[in-house]
Amino acid sequence: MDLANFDIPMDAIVTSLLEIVLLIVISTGLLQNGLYVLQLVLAMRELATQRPEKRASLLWRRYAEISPPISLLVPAYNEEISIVDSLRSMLALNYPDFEVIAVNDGSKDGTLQAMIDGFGLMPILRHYTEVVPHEPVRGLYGSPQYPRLLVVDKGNGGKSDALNAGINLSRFPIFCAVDADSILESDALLRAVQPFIDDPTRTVAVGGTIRIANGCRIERGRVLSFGLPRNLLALFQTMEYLRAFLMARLAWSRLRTLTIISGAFGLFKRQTVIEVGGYSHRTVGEDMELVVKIHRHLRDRGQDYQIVFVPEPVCWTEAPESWRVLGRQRSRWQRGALETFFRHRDMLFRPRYGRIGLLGFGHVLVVDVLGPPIEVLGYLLVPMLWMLGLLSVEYLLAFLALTFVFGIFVSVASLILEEIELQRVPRVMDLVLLTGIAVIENFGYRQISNLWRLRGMWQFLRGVQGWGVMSRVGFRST
Amino acid sequence: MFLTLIWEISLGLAAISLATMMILIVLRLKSAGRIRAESERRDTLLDQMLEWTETGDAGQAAAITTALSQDTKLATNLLIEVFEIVRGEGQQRLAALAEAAGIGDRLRRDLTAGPVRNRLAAAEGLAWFPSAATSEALGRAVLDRHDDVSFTAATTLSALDSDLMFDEALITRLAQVNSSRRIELVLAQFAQTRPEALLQLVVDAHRSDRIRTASLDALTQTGIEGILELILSLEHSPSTDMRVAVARNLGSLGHPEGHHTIARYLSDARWEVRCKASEAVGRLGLLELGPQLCDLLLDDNWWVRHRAGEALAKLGDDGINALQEMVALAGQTPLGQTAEHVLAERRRSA
Repeated sequence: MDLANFDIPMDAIVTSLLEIVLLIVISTGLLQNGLYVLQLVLAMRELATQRPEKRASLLWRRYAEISPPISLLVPAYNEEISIVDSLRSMLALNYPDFEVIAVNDGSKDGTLQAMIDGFGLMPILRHYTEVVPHEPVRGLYGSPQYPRLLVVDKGNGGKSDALNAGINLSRFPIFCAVDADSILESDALLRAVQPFIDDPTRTVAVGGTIRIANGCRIERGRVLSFGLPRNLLALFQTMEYLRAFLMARLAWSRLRTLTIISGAFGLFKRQTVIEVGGYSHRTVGEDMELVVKIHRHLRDRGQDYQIVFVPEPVCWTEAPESWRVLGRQRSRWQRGALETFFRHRDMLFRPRYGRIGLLGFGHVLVVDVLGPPIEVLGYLLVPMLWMLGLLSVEYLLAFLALTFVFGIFVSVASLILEEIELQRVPRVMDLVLLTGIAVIENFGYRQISNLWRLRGMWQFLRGVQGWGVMSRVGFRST
Repeated sequence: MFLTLIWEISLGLAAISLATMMILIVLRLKSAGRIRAESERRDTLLDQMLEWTETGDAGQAAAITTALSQDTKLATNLLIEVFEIVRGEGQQRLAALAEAAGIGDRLRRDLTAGPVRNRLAAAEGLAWFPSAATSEALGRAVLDRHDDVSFTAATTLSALDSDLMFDEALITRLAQVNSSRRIELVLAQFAQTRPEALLQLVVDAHRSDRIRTASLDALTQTGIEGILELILSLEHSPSTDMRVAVARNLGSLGHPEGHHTIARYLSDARWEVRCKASEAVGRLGLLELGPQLCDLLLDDNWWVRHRAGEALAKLGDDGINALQEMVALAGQTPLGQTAEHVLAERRRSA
């Protein structure tokens, strides 16, 4: 370290302190990037050994006869415009035995009426029991024309509450939680259910890939062709999702340390979820909270189990295209991660929780808890100290390497994985564009993203609750 | 030194990843024309094959054989799709053409090496190419290190009516997998050809419950002689899974000598057994067990109450009347509501 020569002890103290802070910044960066490299290697191995079957026709022949029935739970809040198309697309899924349970979570718009009109629904009775808590059910609706569809109308209680109502009303051993504004590919269930076929005793939850639908050709709730978004912010998110799902989740799945299954698309063994009390209320990260609760419960019981991520079943979702909405979403995600982390903090590094406590929670600690504030501290401190001549150029370069250059490697490597193993991006120009995005997202977007996460931390510390407004453009048929 | 290394390694990795991506993009550009041409060839060949199944023209057959042999990978993928559409005699004729074009050989080769995905597809695809060579290849593939390939090969082999040693190695393997639902398919095939081997599995207390119950299910479907005695011999098993399997299979078999076991299971200590026994009562229409079903409408477990209600509704007028009476007498109590909801659901599904 090239610090000036200070004679008075105060300066020496400041120098030592700065040195310690810089070491923490560099060490955290190294640790974070080390984890990314580990994820890349694991994801590569997983994809190479478990290469997904591309021929959809083979899947039906192979699995239809032995596929367990599934209840699709679709919580809907103010989804008047798109709900009928979404449900129609779900009812047309390529799967032998399933039911769709749409839960109107006290919408303020005409969501319920849209479903009643769209499917010719009538009030019905259904025998069920309340094994997990939720707001009172106001009515159940069904139609002889759509025997697979059940619509639940209940008081507003949030997404977790709506999903709990769906769990109570479902009859099948496995349920699949899907966002009402998401689109499942027609063979998504057939692909996602495979771990439940291969190992029905140990498998308790399965997550699939979420991809950005902005820019895709969509008609009546079906993705007809892939396209990249035109909006820069949505493009950044396309890259982020690729990294998060194809690299991080696949890697942690291989190590059996997955701590999150996206709320937009996840399959769960109903009985296990009931045993942990269903989805938790008073959290904005109900998806992560549920998975961590399952880990804790089954580890406490000493049960052998697995929570798996499979890369090929795809659920398409709409990404926010405005900075304000995206910022709110990211702050909320950060808050959700922190809520779960601190609620279950006793699991961290505790031998009883094995690799979940060490790797799963260790990863959350480094990437979600310590990562954002330390990285932002680095952004403030390192250039300033360098400009003041208090820091050698080596320190500056190391910091730049860890925050900018290494990010390029991780993003581009995820894209390489996608191109080698899945080839979901059909046009060459789109590949070129995504490569460009993988580079430039590290200069500006990553830093802003960190600020949003810091805001989420601040909100968590202040005890802020609730989701905030999540406005969407909505899927437009093109 | 260490700090410089961080910079250099990061820069190097970023450069290597970008260079790799550029290479992949160039490769993709180059392959675009090939993929287009392949797609056109595929469409033409598909049209020719579908037309030939109608006409049976000899000249066309020769052309198809040549086309198939020129690109066996494309042909294999295409045939898998075609065989989903074309059935019966047309399928057999096409399979004969494909065998002449060397597709059978390719599948038999694929079965021995390469990625799991390809080995699995080959084990399935060979069902359309029955021959001594196929049976031999499948027999070897039963010993494949990957369970999916092994079980698929065993299922295909059994479906082809070929002799397959349902030997200790395969049984051990099936038992080791323990959980996979695929074993149900394998055992269902074996139950047709080697029921005595499955019988040994069921009675072998050292095997896992999973394989024993799956074998019992498979055997019951065949209706072989002595199956009732086999099921009843297991009725006092301490394993819940086994008693559930007994209830399920008695419900499926429907033999009168199994009724007393079903009746006894209605008051079993485990809810899973009471539940399955209720289902069996409804399935077999055992009117005399109606009163016990009525009692189960007050069971602690929701699933037992629900299945008992459903079973009552399946007992015809007597069961329906009992449910209606309960609605009238019990009103908005949990009992009355169970009866009311079961009746409502029955009306809707009728």
